[in-house]
Amino acid sequence: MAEVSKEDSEVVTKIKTEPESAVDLEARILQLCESIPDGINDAIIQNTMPQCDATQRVMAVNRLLSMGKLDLIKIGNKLLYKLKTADAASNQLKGSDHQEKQIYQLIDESKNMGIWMRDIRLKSGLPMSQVQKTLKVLESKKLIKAVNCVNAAKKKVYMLYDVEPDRSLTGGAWYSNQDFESEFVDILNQQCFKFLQQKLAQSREGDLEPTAKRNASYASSTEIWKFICELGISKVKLEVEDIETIMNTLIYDGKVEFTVVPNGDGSQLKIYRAVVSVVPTSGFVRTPCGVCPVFNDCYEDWDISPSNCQYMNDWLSF
Amino acid sequence: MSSSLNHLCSSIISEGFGDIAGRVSQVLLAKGHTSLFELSRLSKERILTVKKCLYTFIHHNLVTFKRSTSGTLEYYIHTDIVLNRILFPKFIFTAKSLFGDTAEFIVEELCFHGNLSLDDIVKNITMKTDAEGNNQNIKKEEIHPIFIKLVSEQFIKRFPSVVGVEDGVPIFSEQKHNLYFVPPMADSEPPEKRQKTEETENLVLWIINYDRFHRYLRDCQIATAFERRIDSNACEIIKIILRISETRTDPNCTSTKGISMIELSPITKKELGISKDILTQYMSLLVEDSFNCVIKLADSGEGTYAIDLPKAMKNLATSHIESIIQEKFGSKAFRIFKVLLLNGNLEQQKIEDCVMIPAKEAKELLYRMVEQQYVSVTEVPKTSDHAPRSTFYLFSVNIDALARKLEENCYMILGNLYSRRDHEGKKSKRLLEKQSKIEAIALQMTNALDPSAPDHAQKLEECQKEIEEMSTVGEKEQIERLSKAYSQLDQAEMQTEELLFILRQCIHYSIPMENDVKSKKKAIEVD
Repeated sequence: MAEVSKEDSEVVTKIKTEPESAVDLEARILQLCESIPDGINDAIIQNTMPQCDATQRVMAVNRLLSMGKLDLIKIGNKLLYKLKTADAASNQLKGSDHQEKQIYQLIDESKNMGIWMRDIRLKSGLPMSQVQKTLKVLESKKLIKAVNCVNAAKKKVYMLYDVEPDRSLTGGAWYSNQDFESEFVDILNQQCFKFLQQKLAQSREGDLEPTAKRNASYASSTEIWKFICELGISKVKLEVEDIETIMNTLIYDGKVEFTVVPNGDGSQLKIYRAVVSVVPTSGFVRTPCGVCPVFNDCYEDWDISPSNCQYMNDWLSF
Repeated sequence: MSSSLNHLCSSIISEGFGDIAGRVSQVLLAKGHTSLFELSRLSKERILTVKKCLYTFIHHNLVTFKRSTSGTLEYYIHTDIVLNRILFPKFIFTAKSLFGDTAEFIVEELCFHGNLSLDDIVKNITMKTDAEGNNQNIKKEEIHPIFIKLVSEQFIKRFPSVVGVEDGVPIFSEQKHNLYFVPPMADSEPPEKRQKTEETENLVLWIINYDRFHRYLRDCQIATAFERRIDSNACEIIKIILRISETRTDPNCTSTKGISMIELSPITKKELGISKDILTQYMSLLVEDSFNCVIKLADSGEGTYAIDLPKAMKNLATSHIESIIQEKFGSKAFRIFKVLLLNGNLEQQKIEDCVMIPAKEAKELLYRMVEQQYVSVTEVPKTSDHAPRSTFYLFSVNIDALARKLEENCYMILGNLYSRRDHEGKKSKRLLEKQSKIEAIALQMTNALDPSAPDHAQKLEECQKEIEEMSTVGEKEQIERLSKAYSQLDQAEMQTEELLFILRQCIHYSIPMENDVKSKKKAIEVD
């Protein structure tokens, strides 16, 4: 607290004012902190309360700090006062040292994206061993947790214990415990396609005009989403966006095409329809040569040649 | 020319014209322009034999000749015309389905003999039908109008006539205006002129116009694609548009001339019974379809439409390539391929995100396609030392290059199929000879029987029994297996030919055409 009074003494201005009761001043400072949640510095207090002098301010702030109602944060060379949030975490942090508080603060700021140990070290300026020790302590207190990142298996990020990690970290519905659930994706892929195929078949049956026929084969992503939800194949709650990712895989499979139409409320609606490939299975691959693994080593009168080819023998059933 | 193409061409020639011709063609294919003596020396055949081979080749338009700068006469074989020989069954079938049996005979004759005069065609056809002994004798009067139809539809064209001889080398006329002109029929002329016209008629030789057949087959492919995508009506509309534009469009142009709704609707109404309203809907469907080759040129004439042929062929080739990827590498790899096809250059991480396949599996599939050169990799280094850590590796798909690669593969596959068939034939040569002998004997025996004799039926039965006993059970089985294998080989050949045709067309259109460039230049000059 000695630091505070030193700084304050530098900005002392001599204004003669009526002496105010100390309790009143403290209440007003707290009010000010509440109105500016990002924190206030000494200059702001000075400007809003020009009537009280430096010693009064120092005394009031020191009293608030010791009561635990204010937090002191150092950003650069400046000191900020911030209203202390009266949550459980801060209660649990009671009794922990300055480093723990600092690291906790950093992790808190990272929100649901988490923070990497390296970044904690850089931002806090603490040595590696210290950071590791502190993180372990915080973890054991169940204040923070470590989350493994999906796209980089070895990358661990830290976030507050009760925060739900971001989708980009967990991978959303397609991951369970860092493992990609390809079967789940495959099943959804098949079911979505089945739905669109049925729509296509229905549209072809009816005696409709060509344009109406085509339009009948389209289904919006919301419709498909509803279908999948009603099927109840997913234990995880799926969003419309999840279905759209699945539809993208179908587009890449060449089984579905999509187009965008304006929705009633001015937004854009993605609609999908099943399509048939332009050509039947290519004749190329119906010969053994088309899928032959030693195709490039096959020459007339060589060890591998069309005349003594085992694949050909099997194919021609000799 | 690649070795696989050369191998295929020589196989085609040896199948069509025998082994000696095959050997001579091998030399021609390997050497390019070759003189007669060199041919004889390299193929180890006598000059006279080589001459006979060359005579046959020239007769079938496979070989051309010219005097080289050093004064020797050199021969050159054209692979693309040799390749046409594998399409002959398709040509004959096309003629039959378009113009009936007579046209089939005409095209068949021309396929077998290279070039023929109209008189020879008629003679051959009547001889053939007589020999077959069936009742549908075809007379010259019947052949002539069909022939004229074939010529006016440009399926058959004139063989350039010899206009003179220079340096011992005949010069062919280069007139293009009367390529499709048929001299009037001799009988319809007044008697005094008759002698003269008959003479000229006999002098005019006719050949198959391969390009026209190619165009027809190409049109069929495009139309079928639309049938699969939309329905049969769409297919028919495309066929009509292509048919109308056929006569109007310069064969070398890339896209067809525009056709307006006003022209189109009476034809569709007459042929398909489609009202104009429905036709408009179909046209908009065709334009919007992701096959993406019908273009709306303008709104004039209630909408003018054209077909972008290069795009159509490229899309068809792409679909075939996609199908090949799917069969060769599986549907997951196909998904990766399609992601690359739709998005262009991508990094590995991005591909893995898009395809929703476990990263490890995706990597394996991707690298397998890279290994077999279906996917290409571009290095984009951040530093000049190309250090792998600081280099971006972008994966992409190049359809034009793939089409060429697969074209090459098709040559090889066809070559392999030919080799295999040849091998099978040689392996069971004795058996096949015996079989044909038995058949000949059988025919003789049944012919020798007197159908009016009272015990005819009984004798016939005896005969058949005797013939049956000539070959053992094992032999019969072998023959059956052989014919099955042959038909399987034939089928595979046909399917590969179809792919090869599409790929060749795609490659043909991917090269900017001289005419196009010229016409563009002209347009600029006019402006």
